[in-house]
Order: sequence, then structure tokens, then C-alpha cells
Amino acid sequence: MVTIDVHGGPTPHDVLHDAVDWARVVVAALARGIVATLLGLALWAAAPAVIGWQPTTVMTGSMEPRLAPGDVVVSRPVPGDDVRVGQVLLADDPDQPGHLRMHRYVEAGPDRTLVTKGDANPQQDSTPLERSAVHGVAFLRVPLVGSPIVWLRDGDWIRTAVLALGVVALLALCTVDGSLRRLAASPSDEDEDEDEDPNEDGDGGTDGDEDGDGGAVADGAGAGQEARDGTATRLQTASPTVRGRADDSRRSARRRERRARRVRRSGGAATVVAVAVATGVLAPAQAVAVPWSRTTATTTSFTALTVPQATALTCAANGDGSVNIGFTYGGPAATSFSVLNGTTVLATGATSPIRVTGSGLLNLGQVYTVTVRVNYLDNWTSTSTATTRVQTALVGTNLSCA
Amino acid sequence: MSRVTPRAARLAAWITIPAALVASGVVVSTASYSAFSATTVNPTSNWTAGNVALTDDDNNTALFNATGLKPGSTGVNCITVTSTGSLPSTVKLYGTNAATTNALASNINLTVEQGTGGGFGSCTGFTPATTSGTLYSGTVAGFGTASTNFATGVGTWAPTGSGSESRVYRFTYTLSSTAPNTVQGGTAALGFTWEAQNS
Repeated sequence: MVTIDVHGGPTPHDVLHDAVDWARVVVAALARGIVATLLGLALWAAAPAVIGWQPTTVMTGSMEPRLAPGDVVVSRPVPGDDVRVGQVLLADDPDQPGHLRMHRYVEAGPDRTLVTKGDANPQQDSTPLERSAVHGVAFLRVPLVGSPIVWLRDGDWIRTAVLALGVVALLALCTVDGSLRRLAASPSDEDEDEDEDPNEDGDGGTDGDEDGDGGAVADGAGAGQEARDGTATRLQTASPTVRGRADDSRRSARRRERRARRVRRSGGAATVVAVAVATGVLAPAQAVAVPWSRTTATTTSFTALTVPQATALTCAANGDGSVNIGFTYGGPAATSFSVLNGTTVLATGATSPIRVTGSGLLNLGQVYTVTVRVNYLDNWTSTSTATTRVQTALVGTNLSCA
Repeated sequence: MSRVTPRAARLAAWITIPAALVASGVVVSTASYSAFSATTVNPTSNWTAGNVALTDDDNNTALFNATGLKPGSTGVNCITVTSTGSLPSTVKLYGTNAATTNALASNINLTVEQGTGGGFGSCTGFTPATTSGTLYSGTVAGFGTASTNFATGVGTWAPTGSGSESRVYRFTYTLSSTAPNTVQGGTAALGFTWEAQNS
């Protein structure tokens, strides 16, 4: 055990020792600050869920640069009728059932729908949103706190593990000044502090290690262990100087103090755990994909053939009671051609002209207007608008041109 | 250098916490402001995280531009669709801007197959996939009615996002040999869109 003259000037060892102590205080304070910042961000991300706002984790970069993967965005519920163009909406994704879409409302679509687009997507979303599908308007953005959710979803275990280790290390760093703070627990005044100081050096080292082992959870057991350790060391110093009832009362006072400290510390740990769990429950449950989408397209057009009509119809008497109906046809090879009176087929032939006899026409001594129909394949036809006229004889079935 | 008194240590220990809580509030409010204050944004291509990307090899020409169709007319063409995104995605095929006159679309039978080999302009070497080789078999009108968006689109392709992946789609049309006379001179148009969304 080293003893140092209380009234003497600082030795080099003392100065170094003080510097280390201050460094421990600063490191622990910074670590606490970081933990508190993270917890604060987590609270911002999760707490609005209590009043019905919806936290969601941004899973893709389709809204970059405004929203990045890993951001948690809290949406304020807004009726579908109240949204305005330009707002970032959270809505059920019509394309992928069960997914949520968080994109900007860019223009009104047909039937009161909402056309949305991811800022980084080159195209508008192909399916507009129904107003009833809108959950809310994005209101708060908490950067990066959802990153572990994105990593877990992507199966990025390495980053997740590194993060977990980092958190554990950070929590361990929070406690490196523990022994410095705990000196206050001793009922003695500054004098005794000075006496104990050399001892604290070793003590502090042990403390730091043990807290590190305690890990992220900072459970009660770790804290208790450490407190006992401290007591044991301190007893060695205290025993020689103080004895009897005074020692007993101080010991019981220390015990009370230890209990109180344990309650305080486990309370702090419980807060950390509670906030972390609440965040874990509230935020990832709503994890969503902000859909990336890209399209590529091609077109088709089809036009069916229009079978051309026969033109330039002519009538020529054959002198044997029949007439030849001539015509011109320039379309694709036809199956056959028919000479019609109305819808009645008078004759059918393969080429022009077509010979027509009078047998199909009943009324005698009458002029008939005839057309030529192109028969194409099985059931496509084309009837000419051009016409020619034939005339039936007064007696018999002879035909002549009118 | 002065000593670290327990009081100073405790003060240092707890004073950072309110400061950190304030800091987190500032972070959230500034982040929210920058994200949501502006209602428009210039498109950017500087995305840092993964994305999806989809292209085809048609060089913006039509897959079919068939004229003078008569009963029994048929045609075939292939198109290669390539996914180069870095995220796993799902690709669906659906119809857009369906239009027809004289009910031509109802009389054109369409078969869409997926597989490998061939490309735009030539289906030489095309081999249909062994599973789900045929994505659609029916009329053009039926496709244009049944598959109109990503949710109703056809297709089973799910690029993993680990590299460039391609798939060839073979389209075959046939104007029904029993198409009625009224179909003459009819027209039909249908756009085909492949859409990739991250899954």
C-alpha cells in the first residue's frame, strides 16, 4: 500500500493520475451523451406511435435524397381527402399486398386517385393510390435509427454484429468513471478521499473491466459484484484507521448507500432496456419497403386486312340468254367471286367475268341491280359498292343488260 | 491539474444527458425539415443504396407492327429483358393502353412464354423455361383486361439483385381462322410493360 503525504505538493505520479481520471470522466460523459442521443432518437421514432402516429422504416432509396434507407419516418394520420400535391404519403401499396408505399403525391389521377412517385424513381408509380389507402403524411424523419432493421432484413449479419458490439462497448465506456463518482458514497470527507486515492487506482481498473463484462444489459448482478469489490478494497484502508462502533455504523451506512446506488443504477439500466424494447416493438413492426420501381415497355399494334372491293363492274350479253358480269379486283387472292342481287347469290365464279343466267330471278321484265362480292378465305367478304344492272325478259329466263 | 472530485465527476456524468436529448431533438427536427419542407425535388441519380433497374432490347421499336392481318395470320417475336438492379426484385408483365376497333383484339390469340435464347427480332434459339414456361395464353383483349398493373401482372421472375440477369419473352400472335367478317379492317393495340419492384 502506498501512502502519500496529504500536505505535500503534487508528484509526477499524481499529475498523471489526475489526467487519467479526467480522461475517464470525459470518455464516460461522451459515451453517456452518445447513448442518450441514440435513446432520444429512438424515442422520437417510437413515441409518436402512442398518439397514433405511424413510424415506418425506410427500406430503399427510392425517395433519396430526402429519405435514405434506415431512416425512420413518422407519419401523421390524415384523411385521404386532405392530402395535397407534393406531400410524402404513407399508403398501402396497391402493387404488393401487405406492403406500404411511401412516395410523393405528384398529381391527381383518374377517379380521384393519387399518382405518386419516388423522388429517385425515374417514372411515376404505375398504379395510382386510392384515397382510402392513405395512412398518413410523413411528418418526422429520424435519421438512421432504423438501419439495424434494414440490415437484418437484408441478412447483413456482420454489420448488425458490429453494431451490437459497438453498443456493448459504448455502455461499458459509460461506466469507466464509476469509481470516481462512487467516492461520494463514502461518508468520509476530502481527507479520507486523499487517503484512499492510491488504492482507487487499482480499484478503478478492476471496475472498468467488470462493467465491460456486465455488457449491454448492465444487469443487477454485475453492479452488485462491482460494489462488493469496491467495499472489500476500501475495507482494507478503512480498518486500520477507524475501529469499533463508528466502523460498524459507517459500514451499515455504506450498505444502505450501496443498496440505494444499486437501485439507481438498475433503474438506469431498466430505462435503457425499456426504451430499447419499446422502440424495437413499435418501430420494426411497421417496417416497410418504399418501393423502387423501374419499367421497360414495348408496344404492339395490329391491323386486320380490309378485303378490297371489286370495281368497274360491267355487263355484257352473251346472246344465249345469259350475261357476263365483268369486274376488276386487285386484292389478295380471293377464294371466289359472287354476283349478288341484294343478298341473293346469282352466280359464283373464280375469275372475272362471271356468267349469270336468269334462273335465280323470279320477276319477269324487271331491271335488277347487281353487285360483286369477293369471297376471301372462309368467312371474310367484301361486297362492291359499284353496281351494274341486268334485266329479265318478259317471258322465260333470258337475261339482258339494262 | 486539479483533482477529479466526486461532485465534478457526477456533474460531468449527467450534464451530457440533457444536452444529448436536446441534440436528438435538433437532429430530428432538422432532418424532418429538410426532408418534408419542399414539395418538389429535382430527380437525382446519386442514390447510395441499392436500386432496381430494368431494360429491354427493343430500342424503342414496336414488338409487333402487323398490318394486313387475315384469318390465320401469325407472327412471333422475342424480347430480352435485363435486370441490373442491386436489390432483389420481382418483375411483372402487364398490358397498357389497350385499344381495339372491330373487336380485332378479341380475335387475336396471344401466347407469352418466358425462357432463354433469342432476342428482339429473332427467336432463334429460344427455349421456354421448364417451369412456368407459358405465362399467358388467350386473346390480346383478355390480356389487356386481366393484367393491367403490377399487382395483376403475369410473371414469376424474381431477380436476386446480385448481378445482371436476363430473361427472354417470346410473343406469338395468331389471328383466329374463324374471325368473323366484321373484324375486317379492325385495329388493336396493346403496350406491354415489365415492371420491377424491390421485393
